[in-house]
Amino acid sequence: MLKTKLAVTLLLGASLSAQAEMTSMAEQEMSDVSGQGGVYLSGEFAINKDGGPLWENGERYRYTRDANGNLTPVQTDACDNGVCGLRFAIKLNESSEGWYVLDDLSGGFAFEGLTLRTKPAGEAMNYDYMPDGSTTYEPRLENVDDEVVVIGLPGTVSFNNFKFKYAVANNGEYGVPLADGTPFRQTDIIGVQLDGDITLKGNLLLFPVD
Amino acid sequence: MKKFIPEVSALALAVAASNVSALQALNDDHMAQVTGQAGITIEQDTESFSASEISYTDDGVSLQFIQPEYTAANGASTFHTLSTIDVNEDGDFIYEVTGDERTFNMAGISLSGDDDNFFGLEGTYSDHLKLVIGSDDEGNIDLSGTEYQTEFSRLFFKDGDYDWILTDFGLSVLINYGRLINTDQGVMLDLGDETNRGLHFDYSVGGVGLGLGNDPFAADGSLNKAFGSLDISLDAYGSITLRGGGATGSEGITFIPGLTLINDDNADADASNDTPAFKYTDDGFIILAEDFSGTFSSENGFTLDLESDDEGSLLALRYQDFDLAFSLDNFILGGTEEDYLNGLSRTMGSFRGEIHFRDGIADGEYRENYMKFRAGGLDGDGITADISWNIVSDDPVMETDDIGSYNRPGDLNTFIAMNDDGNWVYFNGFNSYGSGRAYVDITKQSDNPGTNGLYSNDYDGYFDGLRITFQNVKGSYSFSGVTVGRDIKDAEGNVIGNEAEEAPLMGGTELLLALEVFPSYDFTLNGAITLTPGDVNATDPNDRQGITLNGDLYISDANAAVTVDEYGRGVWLTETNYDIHMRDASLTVTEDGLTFNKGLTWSRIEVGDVRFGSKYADDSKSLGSFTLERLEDGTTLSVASGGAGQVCIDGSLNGGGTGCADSNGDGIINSEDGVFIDRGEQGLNIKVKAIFAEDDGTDARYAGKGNRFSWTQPNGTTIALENFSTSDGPGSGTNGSQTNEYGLNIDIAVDVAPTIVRDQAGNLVQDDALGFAVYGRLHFKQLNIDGLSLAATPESTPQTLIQGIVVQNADIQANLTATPIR
Repeated sequence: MLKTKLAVTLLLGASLSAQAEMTSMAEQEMSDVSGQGGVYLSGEFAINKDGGPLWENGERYRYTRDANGNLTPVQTDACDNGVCGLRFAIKLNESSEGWYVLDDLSGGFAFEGLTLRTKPAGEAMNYDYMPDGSTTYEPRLENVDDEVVVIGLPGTVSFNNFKFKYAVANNGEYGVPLADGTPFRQTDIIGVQLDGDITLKGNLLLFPVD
Repeated sequence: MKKFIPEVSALALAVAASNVSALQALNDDHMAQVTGQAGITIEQDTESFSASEISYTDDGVSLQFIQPEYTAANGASTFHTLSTIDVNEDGDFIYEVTGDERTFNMAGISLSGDDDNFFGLEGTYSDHLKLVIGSDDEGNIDLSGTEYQTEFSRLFFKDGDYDWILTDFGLSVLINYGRLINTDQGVMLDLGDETNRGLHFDYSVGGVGLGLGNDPFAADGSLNKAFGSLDISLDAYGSITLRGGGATGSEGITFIPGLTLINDDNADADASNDTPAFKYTDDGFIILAEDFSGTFSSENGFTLDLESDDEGSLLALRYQDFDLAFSLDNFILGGTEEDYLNGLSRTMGSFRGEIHFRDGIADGEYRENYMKFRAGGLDGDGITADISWNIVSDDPVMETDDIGSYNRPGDLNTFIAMNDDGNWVYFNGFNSYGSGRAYVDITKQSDNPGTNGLYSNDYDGYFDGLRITFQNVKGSYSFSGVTVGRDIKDAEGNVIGNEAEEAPLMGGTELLLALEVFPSYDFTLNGAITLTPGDVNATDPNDRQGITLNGDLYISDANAAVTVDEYGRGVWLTETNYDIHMRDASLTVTEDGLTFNKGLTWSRIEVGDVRFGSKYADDSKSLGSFTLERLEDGTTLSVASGGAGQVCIDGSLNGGGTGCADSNGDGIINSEDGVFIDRGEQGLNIKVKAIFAEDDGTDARYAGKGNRFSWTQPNGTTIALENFSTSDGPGSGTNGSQTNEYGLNIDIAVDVAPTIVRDQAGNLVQDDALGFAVYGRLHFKQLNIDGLSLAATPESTPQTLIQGIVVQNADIQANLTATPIR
């Protein structure tokens, strides 16, 4: 276990989930929060609502590579509704030949009331506590004298046609064959679409601990 | 007592004597002009006039004007001067002199005992003076009606063989109301008040260029490469008091300003007299402020002394106290002058601020305000300046209202404020102090190409241009917080104040981070930056104006706050070193606003400790250290006026920009097509296009540089993000390469606008809280990250966590409101 790390702790009485039975902050906790300075954020994000700059005409290409390394398009893949989403590909290590891909990511989400501020922490639940000799974490209430960055969660986050595909591929760049000429391959595993509200209540505290 | 002793040598006297013999009889034309005029007329055609030296001596140290000389210009054998002396019907003495074009030379301006000069001067000019001396019937001298105009077609500031060149430089001063009054404080020039403005002046420069032994002029006589042109038009009122004796010794000069400079002609109903207070033009694009007001006052005044110390003679300007208050209305950044004249420009809103300089003791050290100038720069002629400043604000004052206790800004408040469509945001409680040395020289790269490579981290040569070298400039600044509010209006709708001046201090200075300004910062600055006229990155040969920048700056021992309260507690980046290297960067005005092209820029930030609490190790906890290296080639940052204007959130604007378009094509425009918001005509636009380059071995300039980030925790565990870069995606280049022109783009429109604030239970707290409304867009074609690694210590072999990350086709739009809260 790392001796020093960034602790992410939730204030007692608050929680991070989408469950309906969550309880709101107590009056005293609210007054504690309103006595501090900070920034209150509201807004919404839209990802590739009209497509993106790389595949702006709604089509993606698959290429072949010649001896000089030049790429020539040989196949055109049309995106859903003529709008291509964002593609995020990750290769975990050298021994892994494949890439994990979040593909065709698009849609929007909105929130109201995310707050950022610093304050003396007071009491906080440390979920990262493991007693000596124990092999399991035992969350406990701790006094924290130092400043913490408090991220006040926004309550409701609304998703609007937020969607992506989870896939695996043999190259991170869409459509590009491997160096040995192996054509690009991608297998879509699952597609996810999200509409509606998620509830996020409570405060997220960030502070260094020994 | 002050001495002003012109010293004219025997040689100069001999030349003057030859002038007398060169006087010619008036011809018929000149006679015709003279007859019919009252008083005495003197007309002169002079071959030349010179003196070996004119000096001003103060406490044994002399300011020397070496070899001033007037000669005929443009191939003529003489220059013409017409003088008249008259007394008018009011009994005013009137002396009027008109000088036709002539050339003025001065070998140097220096201080006694110095071998080097500040600079030499050479210029071709004409001028006109009308001096009116009367009485105001109260025993004072009345100067009303006095005026002076001069025009330099070219003015050269000379540093050795090199020149800093001003073209079409003009100055015009008119005293509408002015009285010289003897007071117990000294001689006061009374220039009236706001309703009786004593002085008007206009100042203009057509271009600023550089001569490095070459011919810097085009065939039409204009500069090949130049800074843009500048026009200033202002009234002045108030007073200036002059008295003998400085801050040191028995001699010197003290002047006490109580002046207001103002241009408010756009605020009145008369459109015919509208002249911008300030206008900078760069290839037809403008930075402009329609109206300006600035008040300059000091109780103890400014002192000017000539003195000497261990290093030699110096000229010292000191001010124990100085208050500057300004307001700038309808500030326009970018776009063409034609658009402005046709009423098509959008403004950034209005700005106002106050700056208060005070000498005083703080934290056990005496902090002063002065500028000390020595003749000679780092290399021969030039200027050496030792500067110390102390800008202060009172501590916040605790008040109580129905919500509870709060802090408001202190009575003496250094601040900067922005008004956007009637909404004010104040950044309050600015304190800053520091001192250091700067050298100003004109340099040429071929004189000193350096012993290390131009693209090395320790390049030690010159660039072409005006070089400003910083030596141990140690400084510090902080803000106490943000206040927001609206204009307060009387029954007639006149603005009589604004709520923000007395409002509770809140967080929000973190919002300055978007402009790369830390809320609080301690720093030591070394290095040099060289300014060269012209835009090195211009692709159109007709674009001849702009500023090119080259330099290597080293910021060390820095503490930078990421977020901080009025007591200095928050999150700090401490023990920070920041090296920045710029090659062929440029600053120009375009249709996108004021545009900074970073050219080839590489930098390294080393943060010794990220601290939570105070910036001191014994009063905070550490998160560890981090290092960020960047390599950018062609990154641009533009700032323009306008804001978001009309926007359709989660939809598209209709053709007229009056609402959302029918995005889903169902024939009905409703909430499904987006939410329409009008954020007014004022605001701020920021456009960043970051080109992160990769050292792939094909460009020698990139060798050993890159884009990397690593975080080392106090126990040594290190996480590193390796080699991130942008590209234009598959198929964009040849032979397997990819071009890198699109970059990572961030477009931001910032407005000050009302928003709704709720508590965490969802209850409405405020339905019209003012905050920053940010409409942003992040878009790029491809971002490549070579990997993420983890090492037990910085020295141990890193383990690869992630081998590679590729992000393609991103276009993320955000509509956020960031509101400071208590």
